[in-house]
Amino acid sequence: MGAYIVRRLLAMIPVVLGVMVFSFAMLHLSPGDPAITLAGADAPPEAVEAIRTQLGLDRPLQVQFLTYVGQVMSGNLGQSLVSRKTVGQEIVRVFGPTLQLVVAALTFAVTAALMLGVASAVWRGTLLDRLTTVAGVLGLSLPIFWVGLMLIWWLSFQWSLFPISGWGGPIWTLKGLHYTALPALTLGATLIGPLARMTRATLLEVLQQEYIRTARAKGLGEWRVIYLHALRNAALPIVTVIGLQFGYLLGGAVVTETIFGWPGMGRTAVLGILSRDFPLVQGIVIAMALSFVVVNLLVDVLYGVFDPRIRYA
Amino acid sequence: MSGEPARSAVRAGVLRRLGRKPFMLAVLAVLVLCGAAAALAPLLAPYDPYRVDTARRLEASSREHWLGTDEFGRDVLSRLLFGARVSLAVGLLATAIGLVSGLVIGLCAGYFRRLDNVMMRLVDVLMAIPAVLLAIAVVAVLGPGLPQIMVAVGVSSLPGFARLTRSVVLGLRELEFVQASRAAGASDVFILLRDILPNVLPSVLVFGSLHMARSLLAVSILNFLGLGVQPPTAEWGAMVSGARSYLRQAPMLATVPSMAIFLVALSFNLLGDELRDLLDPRLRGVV
Repeated sequence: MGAYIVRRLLAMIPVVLGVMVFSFAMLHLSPGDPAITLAGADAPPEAVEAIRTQLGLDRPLQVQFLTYVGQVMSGNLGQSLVSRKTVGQEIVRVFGPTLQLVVAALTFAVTAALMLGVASAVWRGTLLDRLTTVAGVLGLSLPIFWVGLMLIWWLSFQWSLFPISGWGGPIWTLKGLHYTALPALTLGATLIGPLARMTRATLLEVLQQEYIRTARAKGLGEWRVIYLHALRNAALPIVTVIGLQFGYLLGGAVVTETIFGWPGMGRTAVLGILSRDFPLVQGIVIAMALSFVVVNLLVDVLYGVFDPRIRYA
Repeated sequence: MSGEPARSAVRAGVLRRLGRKPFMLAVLAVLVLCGAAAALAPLLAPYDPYRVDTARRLEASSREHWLGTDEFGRDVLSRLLFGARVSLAVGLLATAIGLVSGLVIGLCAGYFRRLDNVMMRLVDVLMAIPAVLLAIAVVAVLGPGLPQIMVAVGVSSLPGFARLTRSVVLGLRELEFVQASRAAGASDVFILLRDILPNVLPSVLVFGSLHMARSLLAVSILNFLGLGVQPPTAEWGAMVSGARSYLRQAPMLATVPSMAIFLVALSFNLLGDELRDLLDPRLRGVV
């Protein structure tokens, strides 16, 4: 397993390098002097010069790139133009809330999708199965901002069950959970459809296998067969879908955070764009791209856990 | 040669088979109607979509204003019709950008073996950057605007098209009719355009129609976030964004444009699913 993880880690290097080139290009493609872009339009000339020497902007491009990579690697992402804190501090501040939102949404979506997917595979062709399929197609076409706004209108305005927006602290506190519920529901809802569909399809396929017949033949109860034997083998495609959908999940998080005033990376990036805080936005783009890379690494590692054959391939 | 009539026969068959399903006819009708409504917006709209009437803010549906009025007293139906032009055109153009560039890259990577590795590694890197993130980066560099988000959504859909095209080309290039062309002395460009492209197009177009739904949703999300069109331009996502502050009094104001997005995205999804099953059942599970 260790060698497998090392191999996956090495395979990340080109992608991480790609992300670096991408964010470096962001700086140099923006119109005007990069040093002024980073220091802010109304910065004093000394500040602009300081950034110019720090990043070596008067040197050849390849030297600039290496300097830039060095700066990013040592955690120096510059300074936010609005808050005047370092971009590193800002990212540390907004990373936790986004992580909490995404993990809560995933937990909700996977739980709901597994229940729906297993139920519609077991009771195939029933009303429940058909409703799940239809809901999956409908859910795929629904704009996420409408889901969020309607949840607010219904559960916050009409029933006063949940706070309209804001951050209530970590999810393990009651207040934190209360504030996380609606954003997580909104973000998770978009994932349930594709996940449930995948669960149903793979489970139906797995249930045809010989070892399932064997498990049944030796007298295991049907639910034991499904949970112990079938679902474990259906896990791989489900994990794949989660990995593939994670990009959409990050995009959805940007919208969800904006609607619910959630102090995470997505909302901060949007506010950063609107207030022309280039260093902050650039830092968040790097942080988000890297977390995307890490999630895909986790997905790869999970492959190895669920299917030992992959580790040795 | 005989390729031309055979292909148009396949095409006619697809249309006929689509036509035999009343449900798919309804889906096509919805799309045609939406397109027509967008094209004819200046003729159909009962009011000027930008005319402000502060005396009649946030009105419910009435005989004068079928879908009510918005936060500035503008007619929602007129804004919906004019908004359709922006939303549909930008979604379509974004998909076209992704389709054409992905197709070209996929054709080259699949056909010229020497380019394959380099091109597909670049595509992999692009794939590691989610659409909204790419859009945020582009807008951070160039500032908010429709062309920016159009390019961003288009470029982020490029990897899917490129991978699909490449995989189909890899299967085709060793087939006998391609080898025969090559033996007959046809140039690479000729083979790519006359032999390979026509056989790649059905799969790519199916993927394109499935992708239209995604592009439309992505574009409306970016406009909702304020990264695309700026007020007072009528666009579906931007209309929802404007309605956000009046959610308590007028939930319909956010719902009407959302349902328009939903209806069009759903139609494209259903059409794409159906086309996939008709043209290329092998793609089930892939796209």
